[in-house]
Parts: sequence; C-alpha cells; structure tokens
Amino acid sequence: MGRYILRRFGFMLISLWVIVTVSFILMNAVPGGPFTSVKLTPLVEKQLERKYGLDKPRWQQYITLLKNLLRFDLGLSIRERGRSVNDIIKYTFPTSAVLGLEALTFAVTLGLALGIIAALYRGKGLDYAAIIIAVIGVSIPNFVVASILQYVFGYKLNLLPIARWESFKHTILPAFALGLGTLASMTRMMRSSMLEVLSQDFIRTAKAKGLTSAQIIWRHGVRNAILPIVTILGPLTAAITTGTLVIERMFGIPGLGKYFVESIYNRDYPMIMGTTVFYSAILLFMTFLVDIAYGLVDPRIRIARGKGD
Amino acid sequence: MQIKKTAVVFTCVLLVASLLAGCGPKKQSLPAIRFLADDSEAAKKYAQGLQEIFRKNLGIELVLENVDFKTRLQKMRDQDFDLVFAGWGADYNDPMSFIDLWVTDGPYNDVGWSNEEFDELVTLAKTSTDQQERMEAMAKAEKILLDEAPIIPVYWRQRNFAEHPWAKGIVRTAFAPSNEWKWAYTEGRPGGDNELNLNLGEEPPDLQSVTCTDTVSIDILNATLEGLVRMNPDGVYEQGSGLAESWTVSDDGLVYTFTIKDGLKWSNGEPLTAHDFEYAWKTVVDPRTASQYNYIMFFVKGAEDVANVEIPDEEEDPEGYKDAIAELQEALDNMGVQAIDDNHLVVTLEAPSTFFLSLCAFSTYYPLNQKAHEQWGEGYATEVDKMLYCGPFVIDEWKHGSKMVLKKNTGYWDADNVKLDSIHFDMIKDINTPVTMYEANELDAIGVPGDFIPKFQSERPDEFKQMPEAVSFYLECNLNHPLLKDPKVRQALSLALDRQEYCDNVLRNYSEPAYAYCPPSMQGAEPGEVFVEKYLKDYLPITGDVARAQKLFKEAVEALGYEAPEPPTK
Repeated sequence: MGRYILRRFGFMLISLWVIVTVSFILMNAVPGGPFTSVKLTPLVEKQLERKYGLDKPRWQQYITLLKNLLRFDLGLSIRERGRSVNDIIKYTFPTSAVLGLEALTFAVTLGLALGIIAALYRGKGLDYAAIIIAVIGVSIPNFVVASILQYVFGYKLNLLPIARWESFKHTILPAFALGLGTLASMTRMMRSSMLEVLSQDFIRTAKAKGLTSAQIIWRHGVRNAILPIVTILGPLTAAITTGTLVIERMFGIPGLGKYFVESIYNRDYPMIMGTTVFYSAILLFMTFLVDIAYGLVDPRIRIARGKGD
Repeated sequence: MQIKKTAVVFTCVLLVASLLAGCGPKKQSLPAIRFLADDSEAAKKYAQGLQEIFRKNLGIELVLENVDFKTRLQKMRDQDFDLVFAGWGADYNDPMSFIDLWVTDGPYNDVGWSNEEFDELVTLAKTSTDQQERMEAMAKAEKILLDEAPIIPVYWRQRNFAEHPWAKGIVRTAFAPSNEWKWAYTEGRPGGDNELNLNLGEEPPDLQSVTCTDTVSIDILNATLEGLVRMNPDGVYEQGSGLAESWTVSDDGLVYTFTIKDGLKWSNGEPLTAHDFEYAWKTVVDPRTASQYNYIMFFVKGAEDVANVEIPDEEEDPEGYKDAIAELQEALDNMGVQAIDDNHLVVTLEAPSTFFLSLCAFSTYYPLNQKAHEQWGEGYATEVDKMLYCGPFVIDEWKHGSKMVLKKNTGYWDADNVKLDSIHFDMIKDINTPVTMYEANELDAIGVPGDFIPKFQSERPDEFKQMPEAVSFYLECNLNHPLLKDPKVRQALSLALDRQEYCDNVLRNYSEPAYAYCPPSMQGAEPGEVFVEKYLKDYLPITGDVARAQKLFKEAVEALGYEAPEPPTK
C-alpha cells in the first residue's frame, strides 16, 4: 500500500510539472499581455515589464516560476495590484468549497435517492417524476435556474436573499442552482446503473438465498451500482468546490471560480498559473482518493494484495 | 443515359465559356476587408450591424473577426487589422483628450495616419492660453480628421441608470469619477435614512491613487481621498472646494501656487501637508512606480523627463543602476512641483493649461503619505487598514470580491456637509441580479442594462434617467490596406453609414449618432458651451448619404484598378 501511494504521488508530481509547462507555453502564446490596455504607452509597458520581471527571457521566467512553485509561492496578482495569488486563493477557496460541498451534498444524496427510486419503480409514476426532474436539471442552464430562483424566492416571495454572501440563508439559492445539474446527472447515472445491476445473476441468486429485498437492494444492488458514481465523484468534487464563474457572478459570491476565467481575459499570468496549479493539484488528489475508495467500495478491487490473498 | 450525356456536354460548354470570358482584360476583384471587433455577445451584435449596413449600402462584405478585448488591443498595436471597432474615453474635460491621439507617431495612433497641418493645429491648441484660439484650432484639426477619415465616428455612448425617488444628490459626471457621493442624501428611504446601498460591480482592482486607472477604483478613491480641488455639483472648480484653501496663477499661466488648508489630517491623525502632494506627484512619474496614468502628470514641468529615465536591473548592471538612480534623483529635483513649506505647493507647468485645475481634482493628483506608503510597500491600499484616508468617507469594511462599506469621515474638513453615514457596496458583476435587487429595494440606484431599458421606461419612467458619457466609438482604418489607404474609400464608408438607423435599430441603448468625433460632453471655451455643438454641428450626415457614398466608392475603387461591387438593389 505504501509503495503504491508513493508511486502515485510521484506520478502526480510529474503530471503537475507537465501541466505547468504546457500552461506556461499556452499562456505566453496568447496575444496581449497583463498590461495591455487602451491607454498603455510603450514607455510604461517597458517599466511594468521590468517591475514584474517579464522583460527577462522566457526560459528565465520559466525557471523562476518553477523555483517559486517549489516554495509554494504563486507570486503577486497583476490585476489586483499588491495582492498575492496565495492570499487570494486562501481567501476565496474556502468560500467556493463551502458552497460546492453544500451543492454536492444536496445533489449527491438526493440524486442517488432519486436514481434508486426510479430504478426500483421502473415504468411507474415515481420513475417518470425522477426522469422529468433529471431532464429539467440537465437541460436548463444554471443561470436560468438561478434567475428564476432569485425572482421567485428572493423578490416575489421574499423568503431568501436575492444575492450577497453573508449567512447560511445566503447559501441556499446558489447551492441549489449550482447543484441541480449535478443532481440530474446523478439521478440518471444511478438509475441506469442500478437497473443494470438489478438484472444481474447475482441478484437472482441473492433472492434465491432468501435475503430480504432491503438486503438485496443495499448490499448487492446499491453497492455495485454506485461504482461508476464514485469514479466521477473525484473530478466532480474538484470541479464544484473550486467554484463556478456563473453562479458566483450572479449571487455576488467572493469565490475562486471567477479567477479561472477572468485571469485569462486579464492575462494575469501569476493568477492563471496559480489557479491552474491549484485546480490540478486538487483534481489529482481527488482522483487519488477515488482510487483508494474503490478498494473500500468494490469488493473486486483490492489495491494491495498480500501474497496468497 | 441520354440525360447524363447531355449534362456532361452542357457542363463542358459552360466551362469553356467561363474560361473564355476570363481571358479578356479584367479588373481584379475587391480585396477583402477584415473587420476586427470584440467577442462579447453585445460586441458581436454591434459589429454584425455595421457589417450589414456596409453590405446593404455599398455591396461590400466585411470579414468579421471577433476576438477578446486584449487580443484586439494587441492586434491594433501590431496594426494587424484592416478595420477595427474601437473607442476612447476622456481623461479630462477638454477636446484635446480626444484630438491629440492622432498626431503623427502618437502612442495611440495605430492607423498610421499623419497630417502636418493637423499636427501644427494640435501644437497650437496645446500651447495657447487663448481659449477661443485653442477651440478654433481643435475644431479645424477635427475637421481635417473627419475629412481624411482615418477614423470614422459611429456613436457616442449614453449612460442609462435608475434611482429610487428617495436617493438624492448623487452627482454623476461624464468623466471619472463617474459617481460623486459627497453630497448624496436620502429622504424617506425604506431601510432607513442616511445610508445607501449600491452595486460597485466588481472588486476595485487598485486603490492606490498613484497607479489606479479604472473607474470603479477611481469612484472609491474620490470618496475616500481628495485633491487640491473638488468639482462642485454644478461642474465648477471653486477656490476652497478641495484640500487647497486658495491658489494664485502667474500672469503667463505657468506657475500655480496652492495654499493648503490649515489643520488637515490623515485618518491616522498625522498632519496632511503640501509635502504629501509633492511626494505623490513625483511617485506617479517615477519609473519604478510604472504608473499607466503617468502621462496625465506630464503637464507638470519636467515630469516627462522623470518618467523617461531608464533604470537597468540592479543585479545585472549595478554601475548603470547607480548612474540611473542619480539621474532620476536629478530629474525629480527639477520637476515642477515643490512644497515650499507645509502649507504651500508651487507647481510649474510645461505650457499654460486651461484645464489644469480639473486635473488637480483627478485621482492621479491626490496626495499620498510617504511614511504609510513606504511602510506597506506593495501591499499599500490592499486592505482597509493598509491605507490612509482624507476624503468625505473612510473604508470601514472590505470583504474582497463581495462587499465594501464606506463610513462618513468625521475628521474630514467639510464633514458638516456630508449627510450620508454610510454607503454599502456590493460587488455583483452580473447585470441581471442588480435589476432584481433594485426592484426589491435592496439597491438604491443601478445602471440599467440595454435589454431592460424598455421595461424601466414603461414601469418606472420617473426613476429611469440618462446622461451622456465622455466616450466616443469609431472605426479605425488601417492606412496600409490597399483600399483603405485611399481617403475617398474611407469617406465613402463614412457616408454609407446611417448612424441614426444604427443607433435606433442595432444599439438600441440611447447612444447618440456621432456627427463628429469628440463627444458632446467635452466642454468648449466656456463652461456650459459644448465643443462639437458650437464648431462641428452635423459635420457628418447622421443618416448618411448613400447615393454619394456609392458614387464615391465606385470611382475610388475603379481608379485603384479593382472591380466595383454590383450596386446593391433594394
């Protein structure tokens, strides 16, 4: 087990290095730079490049970048003058993570439940209800859902805040808007996966053994059907906890999501690199966790088998 | 079978015929004109609108190239465009802020246009103290620009906003700062009086006055700091309106002596003196600051020399670095701003400037406390407690990317006239959410996005308001293009443009069709006089002159040896 983890960690580092290098090349290939603006004069551009070390040859900038990354120093944001990328991530990630986990908890629990119910009541009213929810959730973009929620629950009914980020109440609408799409895909995946499992031979065997239907569904049905969900849960968690542009923008949430997109528009090189490295690290870590979780969930997969196992 | 044979023969005949037709003396077909524009949804729509107008009126097909903002700017600098949709916002209230862009080899002249007479007129307008003479020179220069048409004005943008009836006294100007809250107050506000809820739209990217360039930050700085003068609600710069009690101007208009008010204090209790201005102004042009707005300081004598000092890397070239620092020090000492004592600031200008006082009210000219600035270094003005205040308000709370709360500054010299206790800002970038919040009375005033204008007009006609912005939008023609190099072709484009139709049917946001280049918010010789209205009224036909445009275009194109496109039929 230890050797396995060590090897995986090594691969993670190599992957990160590749990501950093490719991002560095791509970032510099995009036209315009961090200082490009309508009123920038060539004189000031030169001064700014000197100040931020962008007048150095590319390879030198690359080496400096790698050195700083090894010290976990992501540098100063150029767009938000004077703030370090580390600080910005430290400040915004917890916000996005809270919102993301809330959305994920809601989406996964409800999505799985709906999926299981739909599968068990295949072709009946409950199944259709679940499918309708899933189709709506997948096909309506989240900004539309968010606008409707804001209008109905915030403005018309005056039950929840329209926007702003202050208390738990403020998290409900954005979490719902953010989670609805995930909920829908969870429902669909769980339903089809469950249906497939329920038609397997071992379910019939379990029935023949005289197990109760609850036992069959939980021990043999859900446990097997959930495997594909676990696979996507890793990348999904990474994506949803690092924030999303649209929801943050609409509800005025100070999250990390906007930086993924805006840093590129702003050509804020340190911020682009910071968000890329941060997200990649989380994604790789989550994938790693999923691999380990497999061993716990799936009886057929054992990561470290001793001899004679 | 028979049908197939016939088809083959027919095709062959056609081929031969078309080959023969191609043998005669034939003019080259029109070279493509690439049309560069931004890639937001609105910008795409606006660009397609122009494309359609030129297709309809001249029969030419512009090749649209929508790219993101910074890519467009880079391509403009590299002159990698044929036609580009661009805009410019004023830095100060004088037509010069627009006109001097197009001097030969100017840093913003990316069309490659050069006109000797134009250059001379600009120089005259920059050095003369006679307002009348200046205005006439600039009007003449603008006429040359419009006649030669290296740029083709399209529209002047309007600002559409709404405010609830209880929100009063917010002064909105066409220039930065675009919102002045010093005199704001409320009457019968549902959530309680003496406070305002507003949307800032985004995190202020830079609250350090010497480097700040964006309107969001400038609005906040205008509320929390103050310059030597402050614009009154009616747009006038009066003696004693800012941190200077009074000033005198030498007869030649070159030397300003400001007397700073007695007993001024920074928010930490330290005295605010003339030295804080000298330090700030010198910091703006110091090459190590690398301030994008340093050119706004170039009206001060010797400021440009300071900015032009090249400082090599200290590690790579220690000798050169030492020399450069010495040179810089000398340039700074020679710069025309000097605090002769705590209360007196003497400023010498490069040339007499009629709008210098308006610059003294601008954020780049605000004072800066040297001790605090050096203490916090790069982190200055990145947190509430890492900056000093001297304006009508102080920042009380700043949650990055989420909200900012301003509180009345009780130590402000004119605190008696500040009626608001606090202003709460949200930082919501989305354009729809604030509209819903406004309707729910959670925001007291908002900017109204284009799509919502009809709704506000019908549902809240008394709350919906408009005002001109000091922004002009125009097409730039690359003068290296085989067609656009010909002034006649450019004039034809300008004449083919029905600006009224474009504003009414494409923009649909109350933008004004531009009959000239400088927007009408630019003042003429006297306050209240509108430069373009007086000198250039209807210089370009706003509904276009399609017949003349077609004739001109055909002549010009054929003279260049190209085949003119089929005259478009209705």
